[in-house]
Amino acid sequence: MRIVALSALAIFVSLSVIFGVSLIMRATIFILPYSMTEFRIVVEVLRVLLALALAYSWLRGGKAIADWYFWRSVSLRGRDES
Amino acid sequence: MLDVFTVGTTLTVSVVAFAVTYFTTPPLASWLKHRGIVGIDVHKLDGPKIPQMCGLSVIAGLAAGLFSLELVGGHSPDIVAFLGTVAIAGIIGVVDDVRPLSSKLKPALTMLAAVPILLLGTYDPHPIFPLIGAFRLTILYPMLILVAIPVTANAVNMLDVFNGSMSGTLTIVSLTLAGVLAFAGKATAMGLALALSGSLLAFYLFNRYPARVFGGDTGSLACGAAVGALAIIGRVELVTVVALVPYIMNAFYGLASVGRLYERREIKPRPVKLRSDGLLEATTERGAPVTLTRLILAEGPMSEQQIVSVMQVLTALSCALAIFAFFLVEVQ
Repeated sequence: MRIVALSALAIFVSLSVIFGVSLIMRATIFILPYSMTEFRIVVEVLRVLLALALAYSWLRGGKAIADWYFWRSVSLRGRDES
Repeated sequence: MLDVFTVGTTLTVSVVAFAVTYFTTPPLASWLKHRGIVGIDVHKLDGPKIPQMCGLSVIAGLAAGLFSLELVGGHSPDIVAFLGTVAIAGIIGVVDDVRPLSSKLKPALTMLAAVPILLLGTYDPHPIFPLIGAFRLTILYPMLILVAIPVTANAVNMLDVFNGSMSGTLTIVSLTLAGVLAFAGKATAMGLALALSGSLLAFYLFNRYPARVFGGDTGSLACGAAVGALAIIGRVELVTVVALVPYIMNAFYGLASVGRLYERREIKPRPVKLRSDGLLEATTERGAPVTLTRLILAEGPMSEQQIVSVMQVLTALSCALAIFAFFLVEVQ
């Protein structure tokens, strides 16, 4: 069961990297399109900051799931032992 | 896609790297042990002393492999940039092994390892993403390289906690990248990946349970920087990120739990403990970082070998998804 749960977590994280990055980039391009060429450096900085902010919130989401799995497993184990 | 002849000749690079690492590791380990450069294997009940800093043999194997790549494939700035990155990260690792660096200084110093890539311009500032295509970052991409190399180097360093955990999983990652780069038709980058996999595989034979050698920060920082350099030089950034998901999970979850950059040595509440029966168990202390090892041990104690096997399965899984990501990018 343990390997199944961990594999599911790894698959979830990997797929969310693949599709999450695409979504983050799409959102970034939508908010800051390529046509804004006159402020290229500003647009690029904002794009990276926006992408990083979105990526960070996505990572925090993954961390919340990992935390939930860890503490749930620990409490279930404690209940089984007692 | 590369033809069979090119793949065959480039495979010799892997053989050279394997042979050099395989034959230099035992004498290097004896020399280091004789000089007292050893680390205690804290996950064994008898706490044996193991020669540390043997990652130097991985760097030696990698260098030999890269020289043979120059002979086989001709001169390329990619090879020089890759070797430069690995060498600088390796030197920082040696310094860290001899005199441990602080949790902030180590990532800052590993930024230096990105300099050869920047100086030789062996990057393309248009990373490709699935469903989108190339993303223009002409001005900022070089700055992101300065971040990417320390991130991969330190993420690999953070998972180098058990016998064979780093060398085994990173062998799988580098072989995956070699395969992907062969499909992408990038002969030189594939040669770099093959040199890394050959060298790591040879090292794994000594580093796996029960370890006879430790790579130390010398090995983990150099190998982590090598993977980061490979991602940039081979233009397989996203594929590498997906392949490294177990490393990213371990590093980010650990950092997010502690709330700052940290060194393993400075964290008092330990994430795992060694039981009297030799098995490892996750601690239930709230302040301890929720690392990948702690997640693996959440449902109950395991042996060190079993933990490393789970890490290898998770890495193989993320590498399979990395190949899927590569084909999504290729379709683009």
